[in-house]
Amino acid sequence: MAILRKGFLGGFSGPVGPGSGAVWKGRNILKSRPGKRTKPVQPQPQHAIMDVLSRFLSPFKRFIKTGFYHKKNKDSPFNRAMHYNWDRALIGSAPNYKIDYKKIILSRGSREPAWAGTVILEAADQIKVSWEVPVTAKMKLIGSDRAIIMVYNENEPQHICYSDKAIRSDLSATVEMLYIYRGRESHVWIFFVSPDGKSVSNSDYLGSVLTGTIDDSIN
Amino acid sequence: MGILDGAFGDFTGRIGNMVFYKLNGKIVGRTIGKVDSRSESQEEILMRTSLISPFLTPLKEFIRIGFKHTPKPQDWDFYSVATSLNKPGAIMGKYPKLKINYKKVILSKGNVSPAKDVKVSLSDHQLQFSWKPDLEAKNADASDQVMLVAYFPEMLKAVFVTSGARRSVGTDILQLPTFTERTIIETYISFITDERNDVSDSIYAGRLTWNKSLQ
Repeated sequence: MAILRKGFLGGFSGPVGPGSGAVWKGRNILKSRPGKRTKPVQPQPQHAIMDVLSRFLSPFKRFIKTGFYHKKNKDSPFNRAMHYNWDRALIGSAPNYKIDYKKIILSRGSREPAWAGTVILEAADQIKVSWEVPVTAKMKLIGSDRAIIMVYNENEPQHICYSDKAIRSDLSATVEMLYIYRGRESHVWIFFVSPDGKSVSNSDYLGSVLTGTIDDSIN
Repeated sequence: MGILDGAFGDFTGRIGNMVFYKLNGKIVGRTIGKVDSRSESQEEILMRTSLISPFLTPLKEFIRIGFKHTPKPQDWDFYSVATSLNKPGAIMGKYPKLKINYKKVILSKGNVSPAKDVKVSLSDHQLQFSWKPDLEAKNADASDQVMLVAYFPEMLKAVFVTSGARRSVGTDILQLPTFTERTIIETYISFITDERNDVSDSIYAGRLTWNKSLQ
């Protein structure tokens, strides 16, 4: 992708079709596109981070869009999420990185965060997430914020379960889980977003839960 | 290309690797481009900022009131005052072992008489603050209202009240959310006048620890 640094009047840098723009000795030049590399790519630590982190974050994309929304910045919300978690949310060393679920951040903002969030297993494939609103907070202003709850499981890393219908004054929400989630821990995060979608809270890790450990037939 | 503004002799624009532009009514200059090395003192400033800014963020609405009437240069706001007081003052240790010194944090500054003989106790998700009214002191009024802060350093969250009980009452309660794990609580207290035109200096009220065994 070529970038026009000076608008349509100036030179450009980068490949377009068979040509490639560059600056050489202070002059804008156009040359043929470079050939393919013949040396094999040396694996670098950042390749492993990119692989692990983008694989993990991609199913959260629709919520990262609100969670990392910023009016001024030119980069995309997903870019910002990658950047923020890059140094913070990984454990291990190259090339075996792992996600530190406690430290993953899915939204960043100054709105009132979730207090005392808990996760309990309600039915075999259903969890109940509850939170509190401190007495000191202004419930009139933040009561109608939407609560966004996201659940991730290593059994099905391409797909997350979520709930985005509940509002803050409900103080709890239920999330239906997939049958395939059984057997491995499901990790739960929550954040709040204002009704206009422009102001968000920091996301909180609520803990992990093992589905399928309650027998539905008893109830 | 730098442009010389003839009337005042100011440059704006880029000259070499310096760029000049207007910021808060002043012409400022800085180098432009990637920085590949920093000196140790520059790294120290970065580290101090990375310590103090996550600390102040959850308290932003509190310090907005706490430093509203503090004397400050024309282009400063409450946050500039808060960082300029706490970045050098409330950090202890030597680089690279810097830590926040919660005892020295200042969250409000003004002429009202500060709280005296402050005691805090924790019971059943409530922080019970008590102080000596001392109405004879200079700039102390019975109608002053108390401002309370409970800060949780591990969670980087805070709960606060900016209009609590009157100074003459001598006690107030700050309701905390419920916890599930052991939690450290740092507490601060300060006063605001009834007319909301001045505050007192904030006082560190102590560190408390919430445990399951307290229940």
